[in-house]
Amino acid sequence: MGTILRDLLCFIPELTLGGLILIFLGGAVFLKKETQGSVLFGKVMFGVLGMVGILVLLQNLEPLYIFNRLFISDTYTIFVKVLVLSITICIYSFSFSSLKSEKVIGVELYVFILMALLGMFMVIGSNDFLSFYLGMELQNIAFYVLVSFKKDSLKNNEAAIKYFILGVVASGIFLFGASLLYGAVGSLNFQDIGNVLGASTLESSSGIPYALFGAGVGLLFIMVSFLFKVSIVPFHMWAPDVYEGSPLPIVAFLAFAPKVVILSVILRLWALLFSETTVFVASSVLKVFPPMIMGASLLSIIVGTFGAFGQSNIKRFLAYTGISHMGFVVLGISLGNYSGMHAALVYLLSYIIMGIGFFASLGALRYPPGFSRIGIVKDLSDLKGLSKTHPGMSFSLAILMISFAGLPPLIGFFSKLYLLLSLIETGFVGIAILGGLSSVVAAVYYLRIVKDLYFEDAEVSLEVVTPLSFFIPLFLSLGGTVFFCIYAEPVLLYVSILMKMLLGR
Amino acid sequence: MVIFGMMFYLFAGLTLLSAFLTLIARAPVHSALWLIFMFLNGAGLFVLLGSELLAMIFVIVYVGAVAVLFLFVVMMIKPQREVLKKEIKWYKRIPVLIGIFFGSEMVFILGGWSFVPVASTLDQLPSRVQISNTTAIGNILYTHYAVLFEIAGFILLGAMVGAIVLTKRAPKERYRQKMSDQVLEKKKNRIKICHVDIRKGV
Amino acid sequence: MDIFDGFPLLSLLIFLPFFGAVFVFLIPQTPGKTEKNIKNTALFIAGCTFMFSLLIWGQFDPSLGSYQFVENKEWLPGLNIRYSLGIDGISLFFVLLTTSLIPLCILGSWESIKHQQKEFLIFLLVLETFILGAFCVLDLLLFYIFFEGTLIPMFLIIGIWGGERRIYAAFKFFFYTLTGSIFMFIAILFLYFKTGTTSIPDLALYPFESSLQVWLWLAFFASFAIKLPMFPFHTWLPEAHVEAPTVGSMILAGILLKMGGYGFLRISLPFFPEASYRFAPYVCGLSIIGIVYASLVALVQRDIKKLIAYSSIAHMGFVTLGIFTFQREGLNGSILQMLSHGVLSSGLFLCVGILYERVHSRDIEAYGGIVSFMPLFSVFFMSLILGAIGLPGTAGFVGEFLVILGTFQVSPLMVVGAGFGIILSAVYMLGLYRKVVFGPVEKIRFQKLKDLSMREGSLLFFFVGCMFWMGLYPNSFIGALHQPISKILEYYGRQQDALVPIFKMKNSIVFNEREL
Repeated sequence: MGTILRDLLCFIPELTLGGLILIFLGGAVFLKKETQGSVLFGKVMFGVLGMVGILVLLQNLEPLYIFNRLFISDTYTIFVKVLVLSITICIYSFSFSSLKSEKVIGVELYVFILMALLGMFMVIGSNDFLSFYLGMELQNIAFYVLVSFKKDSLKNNEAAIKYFILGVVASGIFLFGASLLYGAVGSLNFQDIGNVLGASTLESSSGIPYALFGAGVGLLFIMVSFLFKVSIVPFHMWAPDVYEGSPLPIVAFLAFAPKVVILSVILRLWALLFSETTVFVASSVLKVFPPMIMGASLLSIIVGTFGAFGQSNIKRFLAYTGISHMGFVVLGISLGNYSGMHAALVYLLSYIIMGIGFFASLGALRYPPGFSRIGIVKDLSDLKGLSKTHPGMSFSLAILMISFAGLPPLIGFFSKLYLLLSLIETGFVGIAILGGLSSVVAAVYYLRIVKDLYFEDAEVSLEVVTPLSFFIPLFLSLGGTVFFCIYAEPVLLYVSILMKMLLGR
Repeated sequence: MVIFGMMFYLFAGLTLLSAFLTLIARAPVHSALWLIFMFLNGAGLFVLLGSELLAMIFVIVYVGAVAVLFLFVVMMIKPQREVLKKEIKWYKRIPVLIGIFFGSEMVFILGGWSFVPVASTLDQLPSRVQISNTTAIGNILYTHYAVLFEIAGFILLGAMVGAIVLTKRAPKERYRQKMSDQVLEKKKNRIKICHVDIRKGV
Repeated sequence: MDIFDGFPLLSLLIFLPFFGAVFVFLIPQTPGKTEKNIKNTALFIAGCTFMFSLLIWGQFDPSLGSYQFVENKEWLPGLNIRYSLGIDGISLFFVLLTTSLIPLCILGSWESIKHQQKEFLIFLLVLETFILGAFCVLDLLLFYIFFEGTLIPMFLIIGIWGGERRIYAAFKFFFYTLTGSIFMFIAILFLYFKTGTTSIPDLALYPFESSLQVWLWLAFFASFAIKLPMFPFHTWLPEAHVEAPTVGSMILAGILLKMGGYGFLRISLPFFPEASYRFAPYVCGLSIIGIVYASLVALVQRDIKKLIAYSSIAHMGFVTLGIFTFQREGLNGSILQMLSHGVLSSGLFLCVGILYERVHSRDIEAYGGIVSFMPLFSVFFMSLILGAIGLPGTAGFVGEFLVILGTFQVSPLMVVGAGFGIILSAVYMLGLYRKVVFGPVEKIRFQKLKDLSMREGSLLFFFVGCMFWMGLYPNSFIGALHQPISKILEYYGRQQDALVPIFKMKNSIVFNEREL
C-alpha cells in the first residue's frame, strides 16, 4: 500500500485536473443559462490553473517511477509541466476575450482545455509507450474538439476534418510502430527498450540482428507520428490548413503546447536511445536515424522558410514559420549530444516566449466596426500603417518580428547562436551556414511585416482592445525577448542541468 | 494441427478478402456488411490463438455496436455516388501504393523475425496454462495497468462530450417577445436623426 | 585615471543614449506641444554623451599600449563569452566621432523631420548606443551583436523618413549587410569552437593555421567589405544615400561606414596576418579600381547626393588601400581618412539637406547662382568641398597624403592610380560647386532663398572648424594612434621603416616568429 500511496501523491496534479473536469461538467448541468456558466468558469479558470501549477511545483524533485514504471516524475517532467501550464495560462488569459469576439464560447471550452492539459501531463510524465499513447489520445480528442469549436464556419469545418483525419492517421502509425516494437523487444517501457536494444547489439554476432531491425522499423513509425505532431516536413501539410481554419487562441494553444509536449518526449527518448552516450546506435540499423531526422529537419527549415514567403493570411504565415522553427529545434535534437539538445531546448523556449507575445498582440487587433470583415485581424496586409495609429502595439510587434528574424541583441539571436554553435562543435559547418542563410531569407518576410507596420500607409484603421489580460502575456514576452541578453543565466543554467540529467552525465 | 493450420489460412484469407471487398464495394451498405464479415473472421483468428475473451469482445463491440451503427448511419445518408466518384478516382492510386509499401515491409520484417533473448522475461502476461485468459487480462488490466484503464475512461468521456458539443446546434431563433430586451433598448441603437435638405432625399 | 578606477565609464557611455531613448519613449506625445520638449531632451542626452566622451578622452593615456577603461564581466553562462569593454587610441577617435556627430544630427533633423519625430529621435539614440558599443567592445560576439544591431534603426530611419524609393533602398541596405554578416557570424562561432574564447585581445595572439586563416579572413572580409563598402560590393550605398533622409545619410556616411574599416583594423589584420598578406595585393587592386571607378561614375551624376555617395566610395578606397599597405603611414593615413571623411561627408550631406529643404530638388541642373542669395552657405560649402578634394590644410589632405606615402613604400605603381583618383575628385567636386553655386540665375524662385539660419550656420561652422583642426594639427590624433598601430604592425614582424614590396614577397614570408 505504501507504494500506491506514494504513486498517488506523485499523481496529485493529474488527479486534481481529472477531478476538476468532472466538477466542471457536473456543475454545468446545474447552471441556469449557458452564458452564466461560461462567465463563472472563465473567472474560476485562473485560480484553477494556478492551483494546478502550485501542485506541480510542490512535487518531489527526485526521479521516481510511479505506477509500475508507467510514469516517471523528476525535475525534467516538472519543468515541462510548468512550462506547458504557463503557456496555457498565458494563452488562456488573452483567449478569453478573443474567443468572445470569434463567437466561440461555452462551458465545454474550459472542460476541453483542462482535458488537453491532463492529456499533456500524462504524455510528459510517460515512461512507457502505452501510457504515452493514452495520454496523447486524451490530448488529441480534446484538441479535435477545440479545433472544431467554430461550428458554423465552413473553413473551420474543413480544418477540423483535416486535423482529425491526419491526427488519427498519425495515431494509427504510432500504434503500428509500437506493436512492431513490442513484438521485437517484448516491452514498451522506455528503459526496458533501451536495455534490450543495448543487450541485443552485444550479442548481435550470434545472429539476431533482425529483432533489432523490427525494433528499428517500429521506432521509425513512432518517430514519424511524432514528426506529424510537431509538423516537420514531410509531415507538415496539415499545419497551414488547420491553423487557417481555427480560432486564433486555439491556434496559439495548438502551436505551442502539444509541440512542447511531444518534443519533450522526443528529447527523453533521444537521450535514451540515440545520444552520444548510447553505444549501440553506431553499430546497428538505428544509426540511420540521426541523419534521417536531421535531413527532415533541414527540409522543414527550408520548406517553412520558403513557404512563408507567399502567405498573406496571418495564420498560414504562422504555420509556415512554425514549421521552420520546429525544424531548428529538431535539428538540435538530432545532433544527439549535450550541446545540441541544450540548444534545442533553449530554441524551443525562445520560440515560445516570442510566439506568445506575437499571438497576444495579434489577438488584441480587431477590425473596426462597419468594416467588411469582423473579428481578429486576418491578413498580414491589414497591419499596414499600424505605427501611425497604435505606435506602442506596432513597436512591440516590430521587436518580436526582429527577434524572430534572429537579429541581435534579442532572444531569437541567442537561440540561433547556441544552435549554430552546437552544429559547428559537432562538425556540421556546412549545415550551420545553411541554417544561417535560411535565417537571412526568413528575415526578408519578417522585415516585410516591419515594413508594413512602419513604412506603409494604413488601409484599415484597426482597433486595439486593451484589457489587462492581453498585456500581461505581451509584456512578459517582450521582457523575455529584450532582456534575455542581459540576464539569461538562470534559464540557461537550469536547461543545462536538465539536459545533463537526461543524458545521465 | 493440420486442421488448425487450415482454419488459420481460411480465416486469414477470408479476412483479407473481405477487407478488400469492403474497399471496392459500390454500395456503402455492402461495404459495411463486408466489414462485419471481416470482424467475424478476425474474431475467429483470436479463437485460434486461444484468447476467447478478445474474440468475444471483437464480436460484441465491433460487430454488435460499431458496425451496426455504421449500417444505421449509412442508411440515413443519401450517397451522391457519381459526384464522389470523379473526385475520388485520382486518390485511389495512393492507397494502392501505401498498401504495397506496407505489405512488402511486413514480408521483410516477418521473414526473418526472431526475439531478443531478454524479451521473453519482460512479458507481462502470465502463462496461459494455469489461468483462463479472462482472469489473466483482468488481473493485469486492473492491477498493473489500472491507471491506464482510468485514462481510457477519460478518453471515452472526452469523446462523448465532444461528440455532443459538436453535433448540438443552437436552437433556431424564434420570433418571440423579449421583454427585457425591449425595456433595455437604447435610443441611439434604433433611431437615427438625419438632417435632410429639401428636395434632396436622404 | 585614478578617481575613475573601477568605475564602468564605458558602459555608462554606451548605455546613456539607450536610457535616454527609453526616457524619450516615456514622454507622452501630444501633437504641437511636446515636440519641442522631446527634441530638447534628446539633444540634452546626446550632448551629455558627448561631454562624457570628452571626459574619457581627457582621462585617456596615449602612452599606454594596452586597452584602457577595461571592463570584464561574466555574461553568457556555460560559454566562455564575456562582457568585456575597453578602448585604445583607434576606438577612442571613432567614439569621439560618433558622440560628436549624433548631437549635430539631432540639430540637423530639427526641422527636416516632419512626422513621427519622437520615433526618429528614439531610433537615433538607440543607433548611437549600438555604434558606440561596436567601437568599445573587446569581445567578438559582442562586437557582432552591436555591429548587427545598427542595422535595424538604420533600416527604419531609411524606410520611414526616406525618399520615394525608400523601401527598396532600405531592404537593399539591410540584406546586403546581413548576408555579409552571416558569414562573419559563422566565422565567429567557428573561432570560438576552435579556440574556446571570443576575447579580441586573446584571439589576436592565437596562431591560426594558414589554411584556416584564408577561410576565416574571407568570411570577415565579406562583412567588412560590404559595410565599408569596397568596389564590387558597393551598389547598396548610392541607393541608401539617395533615399535616406539627410540625417540618415550623415550617420551612414559619417559613422556606419567606418565600422567596416574599424573591423579590418581590429579583427582582420591582427587575427589573420598571413591571410591578410596573401590577399593584400587583391585588396589593394580592388581599392585602386574602386577609387578610379567611383570617381569616374561620380563625374556623370546628376543627383547631388549620389555624387557625394560615389565620392564616399572613392574615399573609402583610400582607407582600404592604406590599411593593406601594412605601413605605419598607411594605417595612420587610413584612420585619419576615415575620421576626416566622417566629418566632411556628413557636412556635405548636411549642405545638400539644407539646399533640398529650400529648393526640393537634388538635381544638379536645377541649381545655379546660389551664391548671390546664400553667400554664407557658399563659403561653408566651398570649404567642405575643398576638404573633400584634399587641399593641404584641410582634413582630407592629411589622410590621403599619408595613405599615398604608405602606398609609395610598397608599390609606386599604385600611387599613380590613387593620384588619378585625387585629380578626378577635384574635377567632379569643383564641377559640382560650379554648377550649383555659380552660374547664371535662371530660376526666379531662387530669389526668395534665405541664407543659413543661426542653427544651420553654427552646425556648418562646427564641421568646418573640425575639418581645419584635423588638417592643421593632426598630431592631436596621431599621437594616440601610435601605440595601437605599433601593436598591429608587431604581428607583421617589422616596424615603421622596413620597406617590403608585398608583391614580391608572397612566397618568402615565414610566420614562425609569431609566437604566443
